Amino acid sequence: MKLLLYTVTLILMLTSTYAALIYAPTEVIMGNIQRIFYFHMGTVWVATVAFIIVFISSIFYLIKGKKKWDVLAYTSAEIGVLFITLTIITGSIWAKPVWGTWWTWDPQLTTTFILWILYIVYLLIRVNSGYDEKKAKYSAVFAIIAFIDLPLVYISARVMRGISPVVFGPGGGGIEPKMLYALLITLVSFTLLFILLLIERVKIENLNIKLTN
Amino acid sequence: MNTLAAILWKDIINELRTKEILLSMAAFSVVLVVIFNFSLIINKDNITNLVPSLLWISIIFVGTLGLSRTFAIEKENCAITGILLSPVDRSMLYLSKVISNLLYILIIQFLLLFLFVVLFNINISGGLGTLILIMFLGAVGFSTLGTLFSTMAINTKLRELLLPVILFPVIIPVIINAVRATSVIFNGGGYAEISPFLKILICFDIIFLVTCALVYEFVVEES
Repeated sequence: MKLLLYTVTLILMLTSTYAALIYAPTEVIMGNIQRIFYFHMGTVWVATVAFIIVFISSIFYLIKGKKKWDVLAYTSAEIGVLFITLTIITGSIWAKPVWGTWWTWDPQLTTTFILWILYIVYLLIRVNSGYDEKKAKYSAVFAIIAFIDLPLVYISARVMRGISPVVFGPGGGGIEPKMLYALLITLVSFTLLFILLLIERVKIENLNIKLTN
Repeated sequence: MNTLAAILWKDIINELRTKEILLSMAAFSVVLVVIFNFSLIINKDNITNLVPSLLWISIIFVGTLGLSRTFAIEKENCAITGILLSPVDRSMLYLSKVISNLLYILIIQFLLLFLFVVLFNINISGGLGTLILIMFLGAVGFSTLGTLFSTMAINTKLRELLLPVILFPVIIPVIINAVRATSVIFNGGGYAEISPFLKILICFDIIFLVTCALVYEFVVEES
């Protein structure tokens, strides 16, 4: 079963790399730099899923008090921080030639930045909260607060005019079919990668707990 | 309601007798304003844009100083054990602490506003009422989260050191909206221009007052 997951993920990752770099047509205005957009979307998607998992499992931990929810929240947060860092890096690489700057304080970027800080702080609380149960409770409380905080950060930053591209939904420019396929493959393969990482990380964390106790 | 009043009254009496929290906060405020005065070149052109952010930076710095004390007091001689042993709902304990923190912050806000207005010669005669509303809403948002996080921070290894690190990123919406609204007032704007900021502030206050009161029982403990 695990071998199958590994194989499928590997194949899909290679396919999505091919799709993003070769299969998808070159964007007319931005040129080749636009190809990083597929990985950018993939990483931000994984980070979003990861932080939603952190939020939900934190609530479950506070209600049920079962250790497995805490382990899930922690491991998911760690992977989320990794992928949101990648999102910021790929976004900056894309923004430099297209916008002419590495960074700007537009609502989406501001929210992403705060998101990044909040979950780094989440990991920081885990390092500094002493014994297990207290650590789990504090970080769960913080995860819930942080998640609720994000929409408010976005709304507050919204007053400024946004320049991040809105691709889908009302006002979006739409997307060419081949690009859409490449994007979908990337999203699927990144999701599988996330599941794979999460399973492995939970296993390591459980071993870690077994060793320390 | 009685328990809330009792805990609150205990805090106020304690503070009136020692005056340690308010006095140190006040002294810090004065020092901050003096430092701002000497470290920044403030003239007629930039004053109304600079002072709102300076005012709110001072408020959160000085406020954090006070927040870290409110639970440190309870930790001394394990006073917190007494409160936790009594049959008090944890959310009542939380609300009373929020109110006492709110009182300290409101007092300090008026001191800071007074200092900024007098020392930087700002005209706020037109919008004093609205300004008080903004400061009140900002202070509520700050003390709801501040109380929860100061309780958390005091129980960790880093103690007071952790408080600003966990508090500041979360209260960014409060700071953004309060600074913008204040800056509109300093530039002579009216209530209509600041109502979007006030709405977000009110949402923030209500959402976090409820959430924090709900999760507080998981955070407070005698250890």
